[in-house]
Amino acid sequence: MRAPPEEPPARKSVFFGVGGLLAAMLYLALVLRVDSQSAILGLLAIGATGVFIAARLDLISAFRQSYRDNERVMDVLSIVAVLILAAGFHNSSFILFLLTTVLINIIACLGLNLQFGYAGMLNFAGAAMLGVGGYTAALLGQNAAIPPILLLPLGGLFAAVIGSILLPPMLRTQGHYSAVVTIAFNLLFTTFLEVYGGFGGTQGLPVQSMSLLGLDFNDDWKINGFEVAFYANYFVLGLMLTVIVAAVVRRMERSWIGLSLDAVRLDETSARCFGVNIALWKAVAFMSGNFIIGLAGTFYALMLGYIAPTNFTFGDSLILVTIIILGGLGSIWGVILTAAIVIILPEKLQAIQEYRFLLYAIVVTFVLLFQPGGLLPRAPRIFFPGWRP
Amino acid sequence: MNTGVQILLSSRQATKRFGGVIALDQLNLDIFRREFFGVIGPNGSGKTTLFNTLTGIFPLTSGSFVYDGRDLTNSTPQQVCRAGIARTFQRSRVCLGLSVFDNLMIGNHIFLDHGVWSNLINRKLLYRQLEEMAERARTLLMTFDPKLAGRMGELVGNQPMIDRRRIEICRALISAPKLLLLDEPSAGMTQREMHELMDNLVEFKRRAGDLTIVLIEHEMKIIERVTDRCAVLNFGRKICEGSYAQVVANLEVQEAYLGTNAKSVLA
Amino acid sequence: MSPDILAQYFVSGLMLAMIYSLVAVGFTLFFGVLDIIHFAHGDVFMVGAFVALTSFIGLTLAGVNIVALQLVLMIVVTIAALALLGILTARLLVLPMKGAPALNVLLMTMMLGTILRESVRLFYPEGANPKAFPHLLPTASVSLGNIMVRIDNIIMLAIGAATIVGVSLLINRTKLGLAIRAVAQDEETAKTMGINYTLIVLVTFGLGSALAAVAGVISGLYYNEINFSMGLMLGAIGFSAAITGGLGSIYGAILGGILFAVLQIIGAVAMPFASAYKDVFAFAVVIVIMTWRPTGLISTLSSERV
Repeated sequence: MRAPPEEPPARKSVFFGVGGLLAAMLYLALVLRVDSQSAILGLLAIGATGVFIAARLDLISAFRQSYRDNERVMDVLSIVAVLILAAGFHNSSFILFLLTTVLINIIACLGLNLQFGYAGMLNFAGAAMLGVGGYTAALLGQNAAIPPILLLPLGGLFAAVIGSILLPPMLRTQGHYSAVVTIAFNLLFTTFLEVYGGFGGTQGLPVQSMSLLGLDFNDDWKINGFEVAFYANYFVLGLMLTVIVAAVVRRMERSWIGLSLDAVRLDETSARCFGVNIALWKAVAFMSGNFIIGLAGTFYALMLGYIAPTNFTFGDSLILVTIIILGGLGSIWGVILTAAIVIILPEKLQAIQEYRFLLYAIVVTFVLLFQPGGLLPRAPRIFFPGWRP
Repeated sequence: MNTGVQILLSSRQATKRFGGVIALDQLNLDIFRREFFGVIGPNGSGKTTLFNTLTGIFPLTSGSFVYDGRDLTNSTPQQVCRAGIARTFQRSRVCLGLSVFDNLMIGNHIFLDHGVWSNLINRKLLYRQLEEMAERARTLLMTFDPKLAGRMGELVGNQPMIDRRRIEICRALISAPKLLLLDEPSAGMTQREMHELMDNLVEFKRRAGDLTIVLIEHEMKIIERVTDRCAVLNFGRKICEGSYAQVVANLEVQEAYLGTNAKSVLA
Repeated sequence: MSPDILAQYFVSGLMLAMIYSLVAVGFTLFFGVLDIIHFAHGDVFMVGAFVALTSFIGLTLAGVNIVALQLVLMIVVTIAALALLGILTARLLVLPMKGAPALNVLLMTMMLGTILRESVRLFYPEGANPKAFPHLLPTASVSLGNIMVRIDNIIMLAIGAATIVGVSLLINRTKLGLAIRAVAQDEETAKTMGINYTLIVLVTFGLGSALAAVAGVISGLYYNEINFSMGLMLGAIGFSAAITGGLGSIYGAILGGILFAVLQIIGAVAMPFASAYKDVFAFAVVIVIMTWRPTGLISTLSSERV
């Protein structure tokens, strides 16, 4: 005896998604290309107006719905679009480095979102976990027996293991108390690194470059006179990692696992009464989140060639948290969009480089006051695209 | 007296102190298998505390609970759930930001497959599980409201109060518990809605066979209509037990609710 | 260890404890009254130190040369300025966000802290560099038995202690304090009893910030140096102190402040070769305490209604 199913809303044409993607890519390409400050400001004004108008015309929700309704296609197109964009800047070390940094932040924030956005665990030590990954690269990388590609999961592993020190307090505390514990840990972490000379102290450590199958990532490509800056190597690997991590995180959310995490976040008391092992799920979210963040940190160190405690301060943890809140807690596309904005904007607006922390803070304050859901709030769970219970 | 009927749940001298407040005072209660049992009493008489201590949210200060022959005292909520006891809450505790289906599936947690293989890798397997669970959820919801069964994909936050109560009850029922604890399900609903809900529940119980329900309620008409027996609590103690008619006629009960001369109100 | 060095450690421990307690009491007041963690409080403390310095410079330029007068006016101006800052924060940022998810409010206060920190760094002349704070108190030492104690330390300890005692008396012995405690316990009931909720919130924020002002002035006088990032570490410490002591309890905050100072001193004494580890040590202990007693040493939080 089946109830008559209600008519599902009509599938949004892929046209909206493609249109939005093209617009975004063109805009991004322009922003990256242009150098004069006045042009950048002009572009920003145009962009803001464009977004405002699009929101008024309900285009943004159409865009999002189109992405959801045509997910496979849009995912592939998005990856291809990003590759084309990067290829367009094949000569520019700076742009490729910048884009890869965006990818690294995306990966880290996807991990942080597992803890914050899904399991509701307030983690303000994200930068410390990045640091663990980075220092793993520096220290283990000196050992020639370890192929650099293995450093990535190893960095993640170390971050998960060291992060598990925080599990006892994190499991026993909630809300602000968890926050204190992680803040204390991040401060402890940077102070320790600065003081303990064995890890380079305040000067930090050099990190060997990434290499895979004999190819050194720090070599530029020169094919028949076509030059590609060596950061392209990191970009491509970074993109692959981002896609893998995003796919895994998305699958986690769209599964019984994701449902358990939501239950833990939304109401621990009733979750307990339905047999949910709160400690287990928090541990799962925390450790896997830290693994991902550590992985990002290792990759960052390999690309940078260098790490120091100043890369991983509490302020940096705050930036990661800013990205996931601004983007919309638990929203994967929100993370992607906001990471791009937060990383790229200050680099292009050189005039505001100095002021960027101040400006972040002001913008976030406004968002918190007036648009607390974030730029692309997390959409309700769909276990499979097109599947309705 | 029915000698063949088994006792499913008993509390023995159950006592719960919160600091200086005695919420449960040596409470002795027996609940028979398959009965519809009501728990009534003035505000603060310990009804919800009874549920909270039974389901392991707070430990008893002293005394014990015996369920299906086993000692359930001071079990964790998870253990209580696995023993086959499910509950709803006085303050509606459904997840408004999740869909109806998701909420029901939280209730089904112990029967879900959380392995990495099906959740992350073999998604076809997950799909099959989803279809199976959706069917189960749909069947359950149908006994309460066919229209709701067609809205399983919608957010609970968009549903009216009566449907949220239905969803909360179905969340408790989806795991096929042996004992269902309902804490003031009528709060926030009209008389007619409550009437409807209780009809659904009685029908569900009839079909389910081996289901025992304990209902905390303020609405006397409901207690009168659906319960087989009930107990009256006051200041954490049981002051009367029996059928509704017996309980209502009891002088101590009348005094507990209204001082003296309560007959007219309770009739 | 010679009694002299012991005495030095003791005095610096007391100074730290006092500064931490002043900041921690602020944290605990804000939490008690509004259920929020005011992450910017440490940076408010830092602003206090800078306001003190600026007012000193202003006073000197205006020709005020009597040290005692400079000191008094400096404290008054700083307290007034910070109280105003606290009230504005409450009015414009915190109260409007009442009812928002706790995480959002937490974040907003963190952003406020960043704004304060960066504003000083960017807009105060040479804000990025540490600034010298004037010696306003007599630097002579006096002997107590076998040990030498500096007069300025005694005066600062006296000021700090008096402030803490004063606040404690205010909270526990006055009608205003009663109103604050009532709101902290149960907002709804307090409102129905006729207490002006908004006013109490504003007063509490003003009061907490005023405490930070005193802490800022003392810190400036003690270390003779201030810099724009001093609030971050101190905020974290004050917050840790308030939490380990038990949020919502004034005595807990004081206890937490003392505890943290003691931990740092122990850390410094035990590892004289690397006294920088004292912070690592202290924070590690905080984490352990939070594991052992998740709601703080003096738990005053009421449990959620199930």
